[in-house]
Amino acid sequence: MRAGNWRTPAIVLACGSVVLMLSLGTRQSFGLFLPPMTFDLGWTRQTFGFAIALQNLVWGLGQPFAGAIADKFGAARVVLGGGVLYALGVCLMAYSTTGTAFDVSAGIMVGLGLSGSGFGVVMGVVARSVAAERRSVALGLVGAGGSFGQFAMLPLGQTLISQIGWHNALLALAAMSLVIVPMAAALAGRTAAPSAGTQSLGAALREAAAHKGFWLLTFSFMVCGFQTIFIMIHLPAYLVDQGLSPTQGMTALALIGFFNIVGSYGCGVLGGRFSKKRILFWLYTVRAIAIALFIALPLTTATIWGFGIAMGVTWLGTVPLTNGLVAQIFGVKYLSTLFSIAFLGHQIGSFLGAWYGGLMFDLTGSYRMVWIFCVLLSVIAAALCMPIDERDVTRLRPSESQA
Amino acid sequence: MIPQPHRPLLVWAALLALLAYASYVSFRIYMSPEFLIGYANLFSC
Repeated sequence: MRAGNWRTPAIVLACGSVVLMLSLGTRQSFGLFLPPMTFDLGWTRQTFGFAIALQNLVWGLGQPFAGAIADKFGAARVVLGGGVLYALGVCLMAYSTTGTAFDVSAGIMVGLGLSGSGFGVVMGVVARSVAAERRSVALGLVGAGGSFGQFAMLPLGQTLISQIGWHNALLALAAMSLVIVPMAAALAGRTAAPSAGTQSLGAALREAAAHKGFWLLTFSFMVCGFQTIFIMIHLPAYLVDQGLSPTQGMTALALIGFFNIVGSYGCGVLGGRFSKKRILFWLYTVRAIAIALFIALPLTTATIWGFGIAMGVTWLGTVPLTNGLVAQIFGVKYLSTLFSIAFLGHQIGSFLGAWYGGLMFDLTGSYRMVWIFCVLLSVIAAALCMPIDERDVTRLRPSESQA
Repeated sequence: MIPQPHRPLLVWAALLALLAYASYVSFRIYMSPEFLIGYANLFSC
């Protein structure tokens, strides 16, 4: 694999971070297009919301397949295809005049683009490009890149809409997304080394399905998806309902976004030094305490800041830890596929969190029950992490002892 | 020429400076009236 010599771990890490920054960051700003697009095109919010919900579903369902292709044939073509679909989807969003066209562009095309250029595929390449002892830190770094994209692309999207209008802003974002395409070159040729064994994909799936730890990890990851989407969507509305200003709602979101960068990297570093399941246990415990205090204490600037920082630090720290744990238990050969299945659990949790938050508000006129449910879920997720057997599966032990 | 051992440090310093600047600009935009209006609208239905 002489042609792959320039693809040093640092290059793979840098390019993987840029891909995640763009793919995760751009979609983060889509919500800002809701008011101007629905107003100009005469759509209902449901039209817009359905396409975004579809996008999340397609992303979650498509990612295991994208992961499997990446594991089998290398990630470059998957990221390249994902980048092209993503950019084309964002570009066509600008020209969508009907709900169906928007479903296809924003929902299906961007969703599939995310499957090809999201966590599952990129983190699989990064994990394979570094030595096992540095894997967790590398995953934390690339996760921090994605987190930075989520934090910074939202204000960028707003600036573009304000300066050049929503139509041109979407075209500008589409052009930026195209940067994913050349980045894919650095992610080529990173399928597992022959020493990773001759296990088939089917055997890997059966092995994971029979491993209790895989399901415990997937269910805890589902809790993460539930909580993050609920907070991201409903927190500003909750704070405004409690008589606080929109500025305080945005401060909380900005703090979550910023400290998410720190948390993603920090969790990667901690995961490299300590037991990953124990870090996950403490992460969910901190979330439970933070949410419980947030609803129990009077809402002040200090509590909002404290909540924003605590949630930010624990926000996507689950991703490098979960990915690292899957790699640690099952090896890296089918990491993209297996992590993507766990990520599907995360996306199902996201769907439920967005939906249940709104439903409970409509039924009870308050978010209080959902907050309490979030605390309960955190406790359950923390409890689910501890019984996970972190040891690698027996299949991997002889080959690792030779290495 | 910058000595070889110092180069990674310089890259990290440059990246951190860039991150700090981008974060500062982002925070300012998060708090701008246009952003607040745009984002608050999402939750008014």
